[in-house]
Amino acid sequence: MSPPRGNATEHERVITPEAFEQLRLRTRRFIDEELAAGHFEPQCDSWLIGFDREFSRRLAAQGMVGMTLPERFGGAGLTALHRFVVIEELLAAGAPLAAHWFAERQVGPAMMRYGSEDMQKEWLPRIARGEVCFAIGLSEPDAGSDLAAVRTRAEPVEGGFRLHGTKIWSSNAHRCDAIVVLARTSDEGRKHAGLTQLVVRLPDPTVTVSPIQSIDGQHHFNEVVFEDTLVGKNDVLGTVGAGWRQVVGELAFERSGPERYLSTMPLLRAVVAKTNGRHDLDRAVADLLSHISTLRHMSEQVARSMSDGSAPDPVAASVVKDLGTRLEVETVDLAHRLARAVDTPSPRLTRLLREARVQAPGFTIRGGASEILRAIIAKELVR
Amino acid sequence: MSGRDFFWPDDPDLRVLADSVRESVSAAERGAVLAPDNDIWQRWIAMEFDRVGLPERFGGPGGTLHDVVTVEMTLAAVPVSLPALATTVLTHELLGDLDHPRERGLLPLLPQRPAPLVDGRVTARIDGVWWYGGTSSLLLPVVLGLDGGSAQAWSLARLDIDEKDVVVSENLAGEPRARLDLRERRVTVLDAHWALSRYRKVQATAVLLTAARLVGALREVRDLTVTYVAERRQFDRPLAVHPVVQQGLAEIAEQVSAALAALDLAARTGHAGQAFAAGHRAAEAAGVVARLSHQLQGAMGTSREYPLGLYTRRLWAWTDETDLVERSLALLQQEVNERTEVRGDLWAAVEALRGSGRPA
Repeated sequence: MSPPRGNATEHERVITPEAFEQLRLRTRRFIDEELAAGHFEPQCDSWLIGFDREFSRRLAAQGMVGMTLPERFGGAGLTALHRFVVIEELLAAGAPLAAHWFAERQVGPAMMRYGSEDMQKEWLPRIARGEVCFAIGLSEPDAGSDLAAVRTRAEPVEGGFRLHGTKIWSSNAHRCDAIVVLARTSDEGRKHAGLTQLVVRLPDPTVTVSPIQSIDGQHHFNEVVFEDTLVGKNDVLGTVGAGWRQVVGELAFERSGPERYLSTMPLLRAVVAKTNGRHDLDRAVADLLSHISTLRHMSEQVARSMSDGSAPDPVAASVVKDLGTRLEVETVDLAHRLARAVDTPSPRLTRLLREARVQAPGFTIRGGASEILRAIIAKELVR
Repeated sequence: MSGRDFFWPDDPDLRVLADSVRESVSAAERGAVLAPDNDIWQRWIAMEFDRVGLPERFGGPGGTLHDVVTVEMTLAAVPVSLPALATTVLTHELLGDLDHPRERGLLPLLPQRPAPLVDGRVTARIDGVWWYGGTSSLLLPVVLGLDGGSAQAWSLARLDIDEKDVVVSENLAGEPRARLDLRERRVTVLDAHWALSRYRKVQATAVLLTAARLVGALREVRDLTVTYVAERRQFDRPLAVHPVVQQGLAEIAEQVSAALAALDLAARTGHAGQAFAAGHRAAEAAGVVARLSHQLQGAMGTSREYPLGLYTRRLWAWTDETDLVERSLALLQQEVNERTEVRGDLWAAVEALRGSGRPA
């Protein structure tokens, strides 16, 4: 058993506004130190494109990765609200989080919920140390929003499964240690049945990871092809055939977090700093403030509802994601307008403006396209 | 959603309060504007619903900001009109700690700028004043001197009603509103120690109460729309099954959720800036939801007989008569600009709306 880890003070463990304020201040101090040391430059969409394993390790050493994991697995044993405080500060600062993001946000919680004891013992301490990178293998060439249409197959064999198929849009799979794959293990019943989640360790000679360049030429998306890949039975995540239910639960974790309205915050902060004193721009800034403050409270309320370990409400999570990502997209235009109004942008501001522009089309697609989210919300309303 | 209102506290006490308020006006005729001599209003007074939130030391039953907001929200979603709580709450806010009775019959006036006080007399024209009757005296913020400079001394004045100063009309929602034309009216000065910051707090409460009423009407409009699209069939299917209808329905639900959340945060924190954000968010939602709900309920929604129009007229009236989008944003930005520690720092300003901030 690991000793209580990280630097979460006893005071911070309590769920009071003062405790969260302490944690927030400690997170800000860490960020300030990292910035002062030149360890990172604020980036838009830093949870997806800011990949820095060393930063992840240093953050983990502060007890700020895998915060909700139990102490016996090296986590901090804190609540979703504690994590919320830390994550939003890191996102607002544009810190590089991609190297541990998927492991920390969804793989760890999924393993806690569905994984075997052996799987938990193997992976969770590594996740909490910020030293393991997971990719996610959900989408396929013919299965995007219609996720249950996955064709990747896992055939049962002695000791496990053999995997065949193709996954796409797997962020950072080319530099990850493992990928969680949703595969069909049975054709019986409805198409939502017969799906299973499998952990595939990388690199593997039977797994080909090919880059999919983004529109700005960057490489973080990948196509991942599995050709007769052997997956041991110990690497089955959860129950065979229960993959759909498990993934839907994970998607709710994915949808309600602060990354759904803070992807452009480093840019907005940089631009608004330049509008100081320009009262002709006050209205735009107040409008921004009102929207962000509201979304932040909504996201926090979902996190609060998860503080006793419950899964997030899927509809509330969908509402946060749809409103949040639409705001992110709208703020890119706003940021460009404000930037033009105040000054010739500095090289740093120009970089942020461009980053936000090219990342923005993905905001309302990844993690559930807006149209799908709205269908989920509407169906629940008339149920 | 855990109920349609995930972003509002799931508090049994608030539910009981809302049910009691709803029940208290259930006998009223649809569309009625209740006057003080009405039995229902009298029952309201007997149950002290019109004084919720007023501390016991001032003769009220006490209560939280969430209680106050709940009463306003509930009344906005029933088909009768009465001045609810706002009169009491704003009277109390204007009086502050002043040892002055919070008597019924006092009407608080909140002009955008305080009226100038010269030789103990006030001249002012104020539009959109709630006018349900039963008013005996007015409370009015005033400033000493006409220069408009920073050295103004703020006061609170009380004056008796003179019917010839009042022109009564009604707003788009059929609610009584008055224009007051005060010409060199002699006033009694109640408090000589006032400041702009305190007036901002009163304005914040006024905006919060308007936001609460809007959210109450927004929820009613959402629920009417949900019922309609679930029951109405077109092309052999319920409207709610058509994807394009689902998109509109979800947008309505999202806007209502956001307005509720902003209101909840404002009620939790009591922060003036967040009250203005709640006003802005509710007003913005009102525009979107009124448009989409009419679109989804088709021609039926435009008839007087059908209930939708009563609530959409409230949404339009309450946002238009106070120019709520623009006014909320202007007040929010003034609030931020006055806090030097967050000026120009968007993230610190967001944090400050929760009533906390990064220490200097």
